[in-house]
Amino acid sequence: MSNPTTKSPVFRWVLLGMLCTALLILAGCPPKVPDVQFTTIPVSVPADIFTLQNEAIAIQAVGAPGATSSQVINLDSLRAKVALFDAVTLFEYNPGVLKEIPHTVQGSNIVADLGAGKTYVIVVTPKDRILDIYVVLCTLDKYRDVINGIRPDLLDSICKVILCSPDPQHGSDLFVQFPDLGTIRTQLAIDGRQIGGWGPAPPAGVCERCTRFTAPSLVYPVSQCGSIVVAPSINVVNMTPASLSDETNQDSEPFLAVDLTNTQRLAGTAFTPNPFGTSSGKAPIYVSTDGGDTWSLNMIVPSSGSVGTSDITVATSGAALKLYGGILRVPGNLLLNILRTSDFTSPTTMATLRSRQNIDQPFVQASPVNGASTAGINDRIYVGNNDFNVSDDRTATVDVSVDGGSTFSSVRIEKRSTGNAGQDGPSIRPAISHDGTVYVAFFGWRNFTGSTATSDLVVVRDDAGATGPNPFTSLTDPSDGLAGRLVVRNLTIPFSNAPTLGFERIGSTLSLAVDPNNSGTVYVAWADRVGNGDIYTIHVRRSTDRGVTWSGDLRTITNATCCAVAVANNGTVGFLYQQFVGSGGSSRWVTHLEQTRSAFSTISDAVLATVPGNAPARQFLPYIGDYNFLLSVGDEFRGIFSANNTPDLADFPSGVRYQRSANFTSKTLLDGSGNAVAVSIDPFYFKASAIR
Amino acid sequence: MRLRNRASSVRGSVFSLGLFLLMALEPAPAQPNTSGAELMKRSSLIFIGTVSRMEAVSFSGVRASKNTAVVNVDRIIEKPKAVSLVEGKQITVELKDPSLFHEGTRATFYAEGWVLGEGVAVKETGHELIAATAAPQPQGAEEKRVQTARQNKMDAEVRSRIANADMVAVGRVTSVRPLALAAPGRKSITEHDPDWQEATIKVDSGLKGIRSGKEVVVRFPASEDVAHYSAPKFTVNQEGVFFLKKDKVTGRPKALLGGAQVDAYVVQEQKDLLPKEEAARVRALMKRR
Repeated sequence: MSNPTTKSPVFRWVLLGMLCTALLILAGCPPKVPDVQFTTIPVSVPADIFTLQNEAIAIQAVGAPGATSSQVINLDSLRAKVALFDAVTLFEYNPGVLKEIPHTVQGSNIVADLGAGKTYVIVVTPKDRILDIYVVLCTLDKYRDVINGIRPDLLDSICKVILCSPDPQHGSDLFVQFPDLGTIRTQLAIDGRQIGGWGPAPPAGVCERCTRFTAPSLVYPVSQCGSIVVAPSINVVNMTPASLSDETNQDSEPFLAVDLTNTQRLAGTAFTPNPFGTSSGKAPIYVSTDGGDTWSLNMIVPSSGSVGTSDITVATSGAALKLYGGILRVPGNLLLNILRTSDFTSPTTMATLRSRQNIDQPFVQASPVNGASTAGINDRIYVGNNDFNVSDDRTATVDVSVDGGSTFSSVRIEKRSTGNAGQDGPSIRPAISHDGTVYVAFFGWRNFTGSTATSDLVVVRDDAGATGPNPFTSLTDPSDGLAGRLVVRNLTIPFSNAPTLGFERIGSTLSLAVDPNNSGTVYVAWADRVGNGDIYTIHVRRSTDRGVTWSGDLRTITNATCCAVAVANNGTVGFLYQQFVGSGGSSRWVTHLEQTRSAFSTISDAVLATVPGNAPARQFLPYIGDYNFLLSVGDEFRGIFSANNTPDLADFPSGVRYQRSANFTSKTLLDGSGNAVAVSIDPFYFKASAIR
Repeated sequence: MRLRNRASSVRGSVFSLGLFLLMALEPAPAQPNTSGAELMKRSSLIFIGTVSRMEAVSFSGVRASKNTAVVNVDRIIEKPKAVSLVEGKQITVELKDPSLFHEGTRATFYAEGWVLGEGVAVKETGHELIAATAAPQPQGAEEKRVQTARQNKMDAEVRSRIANADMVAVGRVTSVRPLALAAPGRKSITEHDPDWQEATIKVDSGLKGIRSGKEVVVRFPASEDVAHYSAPKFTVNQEGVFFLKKDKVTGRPKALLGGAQVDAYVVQEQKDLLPKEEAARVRALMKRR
């Protein structure tokens, strides 16, 4: 990878420091000064860098093996380099795992019990506002050429607003002050960020940096703007609100949508009951208006099931606050409802746009018309579903609306016989590119034995967003000339509606993603049984020619489910999956987020959660979900998964934050009165910067 | 005290305002709780509280309006199990008629859920004002009154279930077998498959639609899928009070029993089965219908 910033000597210095830190951590360096109880190994920080993101120092305690003693760690040297930070976190390092260690802050020191021979890492977290500023500056830098093309002096002016303004402003204010930027507002994705606001005077020398905007490494942290990322920045949040601390429900099968006009606003779903009971006839969604840091339940889904609905997915388009939903409504006989609200943060119940019975697994995605719509009037809505009302056994269907949900048509996308199976598989997955191209993946079942489906993996495409007379016929298979490319034929897919992978059932795991800036590049992930002793194996493949030809397996994961793929604005591919490892009491559900920029030849893997596989007890199926979800927002991944909610930092190697009451020392959930609450399944939201 | 409910009209509001002014001048006499059961049907949270701030909210996840108030929770009478609310905390209440309240107003609040975030926000379904000079009620009196009303509500639900059932019987499960669903209607393969089973129930006491000593075929979903897990799962020798409806869902309304075609019945909801110990109560409720 090349980047002009890598040629800067200062950049190289910073990079060297960061890499040194990483190497120290990974190698478990011996102490430099053996005659003291521990030694501090500070990172080299150039003097003209005013702060860095997630700056770290590594220390190693010495002494008799097994001994533990209270130690004072002085932070002065760190504070001298990194003035503006919110929090200090102390971790014990073991290969592959950072475990947070309790500590107290006393003046400029932190005090903690350290074990002899162990390696520790101190991480300081800059203030949120600084992180926002990083993002904004980095984004502007990314679009430097475009902005200079609009007006050559624009970058310096914007930079001064960001770095020199005494009062904090919203990122969206930039579009008021600099209307020319409006033409690339979506790409900049800086709405919802907070910028400026250093107080009466910014840190010395900060403003002056704007005259050196061409040397961004002087200002930016390596991990945000540089060409190499040491590790992606990841935030994991337990979504259960504080006011639901007493709950013990199995909040499985989560889904996520992000308001693209303000990416701080998000909507999440799961099999979550209305805590106030079913009599209101309304089920909840999760709502966040602060980028996922905190969540609340908003009861707006018209369904009265004991856990809300029997299936639910949601999607935004391009209109502020608008949310579409596809649910199986309760009561009802596989009763599909397609829903819409103009404001998912309001208490108004979602309106039902379409309703019919005998439908399985509605999966909704939506988009504006080539990014032109802001009112949502012409939103395009695609609801994949398995429609048992067909007369020819070809059940794979997409309900399409090209007028914001005013009217729908049911498009049958299976063009081949389903043989003795008599139907297709439950998962019908649409994916939309920025240019309006829509792909849909589904399992074309050809045979079913009662426990195993023999299936083709089929991908259809529509270059006009299904607005023409023959929707989803843009892609044909050379073997028979019919619409729908047969990506893989004769897959063996176990269909088990009983605990099979740990406590989870299996049978129709499928995900599809298209590069938002290149509709020719599309990724598909699915699970089947290979037959080498596996229970269920996930595969990932790619097409770079609009689905005409496909790669072999780029990635396979044994005994995993709930896969989701997404492509970030910068082309990085994200791959979320949940793997069942071990057995019995030692089994774990391990949730991974892998990222790659090289078709999985190199991978950045982050473990988001590694939780007990045999607890809590199953309340119903699915245990964690028939699906979860991952999407991209600019150069970030946002995702959602469900997992055991034991408050144990060792279970969340990328860190985690709970809203509900929890004691991480005793690893106990607490109710409003401080009493212990049983462990259950909760939904977890995460965001991760895309690697560069 | 005065009870407010959803049926309040503008005229009622004016009347209430007048009543409020009167109450401000002198202690209000207690008024009969004429529709307590109806109110409780719509109320999952009941608490005694004191208004702390008008037109305000107790946490950032909910929007303040002219109808919202922050209320100190003095005593919780009933709350949903999952909701983390303790006495002494504040709650946001969307009032139906804010003109009846001011800072310091104390009342028993009846409410339904609104927003659950950092804090709890609810919508008032009704309230009973508590005059500042009112004599304190004996310990537990409020709870006892609510318990009585709650029991009345549960009884009403059972009566409704009796009325909607085609058959009500006290009995015992004697056999369970899978339901073979052949034509008509091809079975769809879905994770939401109910996995229908047929149970034969020996009726010890027929309460509605069947005589004692008879047998009946009852179908139930054995699936643990999210759509069906809460339905009763019958096992041999299980006893109870069964609320049964004729089978209009599996596509096969008849069943074989002793070689004869008989009507088949279904249960789909948890409340379609009560413990056998409830039989006397169900009988009593049937007599009072």
